[in-house]
Amino acid sequence: MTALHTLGVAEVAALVQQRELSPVEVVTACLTRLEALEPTLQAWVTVDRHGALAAAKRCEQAMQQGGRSGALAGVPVGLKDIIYTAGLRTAAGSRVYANFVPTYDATVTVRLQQAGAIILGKTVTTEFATADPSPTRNPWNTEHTPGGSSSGSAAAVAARMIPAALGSQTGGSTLRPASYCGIVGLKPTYGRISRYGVIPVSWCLDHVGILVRSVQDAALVLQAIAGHDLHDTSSLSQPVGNYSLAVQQADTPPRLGVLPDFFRDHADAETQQHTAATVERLARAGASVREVSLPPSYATVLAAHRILMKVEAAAFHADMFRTQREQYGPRLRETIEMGLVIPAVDYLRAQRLRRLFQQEIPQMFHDVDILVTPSTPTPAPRDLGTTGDARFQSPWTHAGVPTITLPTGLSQAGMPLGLQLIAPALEEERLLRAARWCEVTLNVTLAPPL
Amino acid sequence: MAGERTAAEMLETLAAQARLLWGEADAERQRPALSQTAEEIAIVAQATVPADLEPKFFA
Repeated sequence: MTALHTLGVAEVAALVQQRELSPVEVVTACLTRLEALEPTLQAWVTVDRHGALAAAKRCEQAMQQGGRSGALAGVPVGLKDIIYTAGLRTAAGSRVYANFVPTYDATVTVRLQQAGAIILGKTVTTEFATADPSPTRNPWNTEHTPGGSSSGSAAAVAARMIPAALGSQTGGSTLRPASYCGIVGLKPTYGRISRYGVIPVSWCLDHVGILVRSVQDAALVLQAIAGHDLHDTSSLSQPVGNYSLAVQQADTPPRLGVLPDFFRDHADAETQQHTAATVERLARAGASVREVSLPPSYATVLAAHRILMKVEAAAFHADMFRTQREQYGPRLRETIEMGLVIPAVDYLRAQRLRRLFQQEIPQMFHDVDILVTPSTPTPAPRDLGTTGDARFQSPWTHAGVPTITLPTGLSQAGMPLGLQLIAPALEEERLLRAARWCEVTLNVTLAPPL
Repeated sequence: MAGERTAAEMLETLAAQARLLWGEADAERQRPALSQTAEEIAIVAQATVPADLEPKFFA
């Protein structure tokens, strides 16, 4: 029999729905797995064993009494520790927030609970979801970074402690750790998932992300938490798609656009060769592949992105930083210090250039459905002093378009490699359909040797 | 005008602001980060932006 902690979101939800699996059993199995591996991986800040078991019992009782169950009934999840949980500490990996207990839930917390998910606890984030590394280790090799800033979410899902976790992405903080840990990471269109109750890095760049082990699981979680939120001024009002249906209709090979130049030049040789071989496999299975040029404004994207992130992070932290500067880690401190001296006119010029890039993106999709790149320039570095390189994700976060990473194999050193897929804004269904087709075609599922 | 500023000029502007905010010693410590930020600003400053293009903060 399959070990319960290895089940994915769709499997747990289906078995619970069919009364073939007890939510208490699956939560207990995940807690047991978590407690066995946590000393090695350090993926969790807070494990709410009592609360999770109580929620699982309530779910079980409700179902026994014939109550309507949600789409994620009984599915254990973890929340990155920048996501508000009423009554449960949300420390953001920071000494400044060390004792902060929110009085309300983030919208995503509420929506997960409404869908029946069981919150096991809070996963490790780097300090305020920025670049100072967290203590979390990569489940594939504990001498390698798991990536960040959603370090704990990625490590916990990869290690089969939980089937799903939420993270966030301001640069590359969902897709990068997902790729480094060999799982699926999804960042939808900016505003598709509410940011209400999520501690910000940069208001205009922050996205909530989803970390799971399959495209179908990503679709299920997105379906549960996407949608307009009056509490979030950036929330999209456009209707939510049928993501679960999209992954069931993944039988047509997509037209793929590969991006030479930047994404080839900045990847190491092994990643370049692996990506080329992966795209070749997809082409042999029927995908059409052509090269697509980056638009002129791409030349300013990384610089503009860093300016926006520094200034907005500084704006959020300014008051706390004035009185508690010594409590901040070196990289975040530097980010804030830089943000405080960047002239306002340059911040606004970066915003205008961001809009220019957003306006130029559709031209890249004239003849293709989806863009593909390596998810990261290299596999996870053997260096716990870094969270890795976000350059392959930042441009798309900057533009606010949806992206997903799929695991595609292992490096010579035994570390995961991934493929990043990119779609135009609001095209999550297209993205998920193509990602599911690639996933089925490539047939790669990675499990770390734990 | 933005397009006329070089990274070196920008660095001096940022360093002066840093000295005002944090003092001489901290501003000196920040020099590598200030230099990188000045490079980023120079890239943005030298790019052509259509005059009628407004910023767009949210979706």
